[in-house]
This record gives sequence, structure tokens and C-alpha cells, in this order.
Amino acid sequence: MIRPSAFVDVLPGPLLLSGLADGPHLRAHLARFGRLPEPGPEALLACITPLALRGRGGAGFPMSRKIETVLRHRGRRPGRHPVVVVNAAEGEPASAKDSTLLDVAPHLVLDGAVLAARALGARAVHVVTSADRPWVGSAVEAAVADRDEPGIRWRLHEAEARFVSGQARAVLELMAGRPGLPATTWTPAAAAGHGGRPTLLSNAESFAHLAAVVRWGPGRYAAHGTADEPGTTLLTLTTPPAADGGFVGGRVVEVEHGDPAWRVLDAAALVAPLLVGGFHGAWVHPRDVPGLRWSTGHLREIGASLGAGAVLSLGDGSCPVAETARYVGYLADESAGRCGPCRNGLPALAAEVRGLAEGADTRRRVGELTGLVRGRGACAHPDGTARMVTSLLTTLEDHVEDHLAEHCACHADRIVGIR
Amino acid sequence: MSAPAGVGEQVLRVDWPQCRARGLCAELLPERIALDEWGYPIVLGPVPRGERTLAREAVAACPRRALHLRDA
Repeated sequence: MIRPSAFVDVLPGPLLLSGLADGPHLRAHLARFGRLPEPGPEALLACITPLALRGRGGAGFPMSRKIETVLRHRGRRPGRHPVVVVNAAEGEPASAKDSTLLDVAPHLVLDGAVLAARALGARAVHVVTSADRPWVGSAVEAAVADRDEPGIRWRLHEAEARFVSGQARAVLELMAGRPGLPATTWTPAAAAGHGGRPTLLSNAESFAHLAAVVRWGPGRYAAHGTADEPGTTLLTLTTPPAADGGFVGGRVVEVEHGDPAWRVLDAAALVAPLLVGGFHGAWVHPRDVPGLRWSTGHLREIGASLGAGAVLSLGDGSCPVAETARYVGYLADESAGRCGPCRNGLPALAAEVRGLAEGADTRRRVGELTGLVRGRGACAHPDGTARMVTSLLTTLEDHVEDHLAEHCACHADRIVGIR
Repeated sequence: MSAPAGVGEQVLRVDWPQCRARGLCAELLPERIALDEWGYPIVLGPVPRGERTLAREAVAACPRRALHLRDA
């Protein structure tokens, strides 16, 4: 079991985290920004489309396309009001940015949800938080109680603490009163989501960016970041969880797209493997860390992506093979067990990666198993798990070789304790 | 593994939570469906026009209603 950290540092940032000193309360929020504007759908789209605003839950899907899909399906279904869902289930224990954001700047997130609801004609706004971070649900409850938005019904949900709880369809299952586990769908939520209604389901940070663009104006928003990727993004910076599985500490920062990574990483992290994108992400080789930039394009070139912004450094000297084995073991346990290839494949994969950590050259079998699980489930859990394991074998190939030759800094006796 | 589907082609899709590895699909449509080491279907590319009837039969035969034929 791997659990999120209970205490996370948060540093002031250029946009989303710029009001940290003012506190989370509505009065301070309104003193800064004034009344929330009510752009119609065209005006809202005109604001965000040129900024190429992408969802921050991991998949990086363009927000404007989601909104357009909801609008299109709204038109076809008279009387069927769209639904807005703020997803802060944050099942990834390495990530704390959505929880932190709702803790320190809840009204920016809720502004974004209200902006979307008004533009789409939605009456219900659902907010989903996680059971293992109960203070977040309380923060949302308090913030919602302070707001006065005629015509908007707030609905708060608590997702079970598990890795796959934040997956879009799992969130919709929870809202429907069923266990919040991934289910098969061949239609996006934006076309047919909650109760079959067109549903704008996005990550909490995504809604805060929507609000930031409208509150500050597209020009000031785009003054941050690069021409290709305007704006900022939240990251959770962590080190490996302790032996009992709990993440210790961690820091949430807001960086501009294109910013160099060395500005927020410590010296030890600059010469160590870096897991970017959390447990469904990819390893970055130590030689690429000093020149790393927080840009989707740049990360793609080195086989990585930002995902939901969880960044885990092995600056403490941990071995990436042993750590990967530990994380895959955890991810296998976190399979909902609904889909055969995941239920069977992830434990098999975990056993082989553990074998690798113990010194057996299981790479061939690991490769077979990653191929067998990919694309064969109701959600992306097997795919994400396969992605991380594959990046160990490819990006960190030299380290794996060293590990097998027992030249790795980690000695066999150090990894006996994995899981 | 699977070739991209062309215009007008259909694809077999598995409703994974429904599938219980009964394996009838692979018996009825070995051209398009293999089984993995745990007995779950591996779909081998899109269904050409000539195989559509066979594919529909495999879909209908699934006791779990877990196999679907959909437009690519």
C-alpha cells in the first residue's frame, strides 16, 4: 500500500498560487477579483481556444474540444441539461496538487466550475474528493457554503481511496451510486456522461486554469509560459515513499510551461533518475534532468509526459529498479480486478519486475507482459503501468544493466525489504 | 499487432469487465481472435467485409455479451 503524504509544502506561484498569502476565504478572493463574469459559450471558447488549454488530470485533452462536445450534444438533447464535474479524486498517491489547490485556493477552482456551468447551461456541479484526504472534502464544503450562486446545485462526493478512483468513468460510476470503479465506455463523458447527460468532467486544476484565463484575461495568462504552451502548471515534487508506504512531505509548486526543471529541483535530484508523470509516467535519465523543461513538446522528445504533474526524484540514492518493482507491486494491488488482462497481467508483471530487482534477467518476459496488458482494459491502468515499466527498460537501460551486473549502488541486501 | 482499420471497416471490441475468458469467440473466429495465456481474447486487426457474418456469429455466441462489433 502506498499512501499520500499528510503534509505538503506549497510555494506561491505566478497565477493559481498567487493568492497564497491572502488565505482561502471567499472575502479575500472577491476582494482580489470582484464579481465572477458570465461569458457565454462562444466568449468562453474564444478565450481558451487560442491558449490551447489542456486538462490537467493526466491525459492532457484540450478543454475547448471537451466543451464543444458538450455543447454539441446539449443541442441534440432538448431538456437534458449538461452536468459539470470537478474531479479531485486524486487517486495517485504521488500527487497532491489538486488537494492542495482546493485547500489553498478553493474559490478559483469553484469559479472555473461555475463559469463552465453558466456557459453550458448546467445546473448541477459535482465535486469529487478522496476519502484518504478528508480535509479536502471539508475545505470544499466550507467554500461551497460561503458561495451564493442562484441556480447552481452543488453536489459533493467522496471517492474511495484507490489509484483508479480518479479515472473519469470510475467517477461517473460513483456519482451514479455504484462502486467507483472503471467501467467500459465507448462514448466520451462530454457526449454521454452522468445519467447519459453531456458532462464536462475535468480535473480540479483544469477548472482553476479556466478561471485564471477569465479572471486575469487571456493576455495576462499567456504572458506566462511559451508561445506554444501558454500558462502554468502545478507539479507535486516528491521522493520515494517510506518503507511503510507513506509519502513523506512533498511540495506543490506552480511552474510556467517551458521553465527549466533545475529551478524547482534540489541539487541531489539533478543527478538522479526522475519519474515524471507519477506511477503511470516515465523515467527520465539523470543525464536529461539538468536540461529538463516543463514542456509537453520537450518531454515527448525524451519519451515522457507531464501526466498529472507528479514528479518523483531518486535524489535520495534509491535504486530505480527496486523502486519500480515496489510501485508495480502497488499498482497490481490497486487493479480493480474487473478486467482479466489487468487482474492476471499486473501481478505477473509485478513478480517479474521484482525478479529483476532481485537480480534475475527477466527483461524478455517483462516485455511480453507489458505488451499483453496494454490497451486491454476498461481504463488506462494497465497501459500506464506498462508505460512506467517500459521506460525503466528503455530509458534507464544502462542502470538496469548495472543492476544486473551488481554494479548498482543498491546492493541485493538493500532491496529485500521491497514490499 | 493490429493494422489500422480502413474506411467502412468494422472492429471487434471487448467489454473487458464483462469478459470471463470463456473462449467461444476464439473457437468461432480464430482468424481474428487469439487467446492470451489466461484465456482472454486478443483481437487481431479489423474485420474485413468477407468475415462480417462470422464475426457477428462470434459476437452473438458470447455467453457474457462481452464481444462487440463496431464501426471503425
